[in-house]
Amino acid sequence: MTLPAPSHLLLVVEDSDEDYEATRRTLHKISPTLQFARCVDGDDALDRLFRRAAYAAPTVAPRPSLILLDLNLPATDGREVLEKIKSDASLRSIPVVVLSTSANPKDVDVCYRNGASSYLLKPVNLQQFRQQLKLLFDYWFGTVLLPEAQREET
Amino acid sequence: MVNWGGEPTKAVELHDDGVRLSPRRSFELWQQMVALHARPWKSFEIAAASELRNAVLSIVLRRVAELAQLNTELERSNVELDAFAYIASHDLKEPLRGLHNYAHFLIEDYGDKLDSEGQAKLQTLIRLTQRMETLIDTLLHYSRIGRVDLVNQQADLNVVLREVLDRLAMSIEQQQVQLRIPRPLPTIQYDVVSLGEVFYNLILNAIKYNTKPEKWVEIGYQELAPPSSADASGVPYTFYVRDNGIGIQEKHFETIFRIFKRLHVRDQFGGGTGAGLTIAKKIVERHGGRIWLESTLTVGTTFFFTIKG
Repeated sequence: MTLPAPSHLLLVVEDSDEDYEATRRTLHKISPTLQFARCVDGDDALDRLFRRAAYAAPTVAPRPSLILLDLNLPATDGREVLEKIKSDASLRSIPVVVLSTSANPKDVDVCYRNGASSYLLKPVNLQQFRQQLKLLFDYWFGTVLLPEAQREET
Repeated sequence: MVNWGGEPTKAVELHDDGVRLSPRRSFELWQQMVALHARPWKSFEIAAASELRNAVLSIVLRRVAELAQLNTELERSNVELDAFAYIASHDLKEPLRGLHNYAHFLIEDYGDKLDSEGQAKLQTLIRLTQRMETLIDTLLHYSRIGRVDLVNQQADLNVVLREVLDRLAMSIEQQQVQLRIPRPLPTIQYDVVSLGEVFYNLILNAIKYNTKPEKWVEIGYQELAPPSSADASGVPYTFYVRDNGIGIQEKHFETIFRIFKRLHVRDQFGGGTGAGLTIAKKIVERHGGRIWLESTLTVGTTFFFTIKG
């Protein structure tokens, strides 16, 4: 397995502290060097990605290589965040992996329709969750090539 | 009964002061044809009649409106109930997942500070969170039955049944159940997926709740109408799943259809959430049919369900 390049940054959009803790803990176990950032809701995520408000300075919020997106978020929810990312010329090349409690076929369909790279179901089963994140990590940071962050400004 | 006003045969009577005529016909019962001869209605009579008509009409219309409103309300409350179950299930899952994960974190981080009893209690906690998840998933599935669109198509029940039996192959093998299908099943108009689910749940119960040394399950149909059904003519098929299992007491005939209602302790008869019959009932009723059972304790049970024509 290839170790992630230090420039790799995973953005986790997750409102639940407990779910985030499970993700953080698991990712840290998988790769202690992986950098990740968290946004607590949809507006926070959009501010960060579009470098608005608290994220206006370019150094504050480097562009993520992969986004892990929860669907049910307070106020602006994940479905809208996905749509905004995928309709932005610069941001759309960032793969978005949806991580949701909802197994509703409609949610799954809408997410893929709007450009989600994959859709994961959050299980009530820690072993299974760890396996999911391990696969995710190995695939996105160990198997495929991701677009380079430096090209974002062109 | 008096029919005559006088003696009809005595048309002429002789009196001292001469002859008194009493014409026979005058004693006849008075009869008159009024059709086409009736007098025109007077305006106050017409007014009274149309008032009556309006009064009757307005009662009918009010009842219709009331029924329509009740129907709309019922429909809305059903939709709301389904949506409620769905949303609640998702929102319930989040803290549940937190409990589950944190119990694991406790074992991982503080496991060495706990004795075996403490560890076992945390394992129980984890097991319960998973059981809770199963219940929530069942509730979700149940609410989805009411919401998804039915795809009614020609369904060869022999094919549907074969698929169901494939899914049940393990249980059939384990329980050593003999399957009896007296005659090939018909082809009907139905939503195939949900029809398979009805058979699956009924057959699974028939397999599970049986302690006889020689177990059998019979699947068949009759062109009979169900008992006490008013519109029996519109019911072309009654299907049945019969077993020689443990049987059900009559006092439980209603409650067994209630969601999560179980008649036995959790791990007896292979466990389960207690939703199979509830789901079967909801599907059958959504297709306009009826489900019921006949059972004798220790002898066996037969579940029947109808399919609307």
